Amino acid sequence: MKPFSLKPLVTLLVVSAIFVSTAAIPALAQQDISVQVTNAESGDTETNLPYLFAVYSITWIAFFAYLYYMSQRQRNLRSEVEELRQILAEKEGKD
Amino acid sequence: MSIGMVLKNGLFVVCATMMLVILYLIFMWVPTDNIQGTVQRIMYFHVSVAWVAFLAFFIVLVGSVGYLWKGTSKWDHLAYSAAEIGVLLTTLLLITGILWAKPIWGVWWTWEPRLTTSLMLWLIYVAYLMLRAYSPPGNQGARYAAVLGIIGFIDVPIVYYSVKLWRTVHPQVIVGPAASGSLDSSMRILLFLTVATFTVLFVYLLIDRVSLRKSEDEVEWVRGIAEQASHLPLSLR
Repeated sequence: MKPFSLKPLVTLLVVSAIFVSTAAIPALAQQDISVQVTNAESGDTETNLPYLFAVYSITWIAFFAYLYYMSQRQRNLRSEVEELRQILAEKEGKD
Repeated sequence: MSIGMVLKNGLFVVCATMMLVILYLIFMWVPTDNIQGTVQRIMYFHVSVAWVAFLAFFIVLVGSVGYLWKGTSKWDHLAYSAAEIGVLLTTLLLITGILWAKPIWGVWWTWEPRLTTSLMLWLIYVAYLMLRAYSPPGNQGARYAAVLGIIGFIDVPIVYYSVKLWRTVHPQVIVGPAASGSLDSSMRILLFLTVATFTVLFVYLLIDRVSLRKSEDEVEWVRGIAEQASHLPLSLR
């Protein structure tokens, strides 16, 4: 087994950090304009709740489904490796 | 346990903790928009998903350039994995956008520049994945896909600047270099935290997917060798 290299992970984290900073810095540097904001208590929080619920549940379901799909792929690969090992062992036995 | 596994598990714990924190902040801490009402809280996930999708397609670009330049499969694995996660994120971007548009605009979809270019972005990278799925094994499919990965990225700045370039009903950009929309300071901080959280989630998914892709490639290679040795196709699932 190859030793694990930290280089790609560190590079990926640095690239991501730069990307997030690009998103955040101009936004944080803006003037504090709170014209559109009111307190949660005075706002109509009941309106359109099903849409909000749908967005948050769909996002979570999608991420969990993707993680499940990857774990299934991993399981299939493991059984495929096992099958290959058996086939090669049988062939070696015949030879 | 290897350092890689410790780091991956650590990243998962960090991501899960950040997710719980941002969910609490989104629903309990941040004020409600007095025009859009509570549905405005969709924005935190919608904008974060968009930004991380752009990051994913940027990594596809980097991986594609790296593959065409160096010709090593690790760049191809990176590009393919990022494209797959990018498509998932763009799908979520479109769905969350549609669910925000209905209560705010009164329609599920309208053919305005931001929505249309976003749909095009999704189609480009779905085409990328289809090209990979239907191309024969070997380097040819990876090379064609790398070219598509580079050309496809042209649509990312078009999507981002579409609200500046054309007259549109979509809200102004509130994240990144072209930011001009106004947000309360607490909303801005929360949006930054949500973008950071989704970035950590993306890095976690990408590490997992690249490692899986590498294993798939290795199994394919071993199968090829075994087939050559036996002169018969091996019937595997």
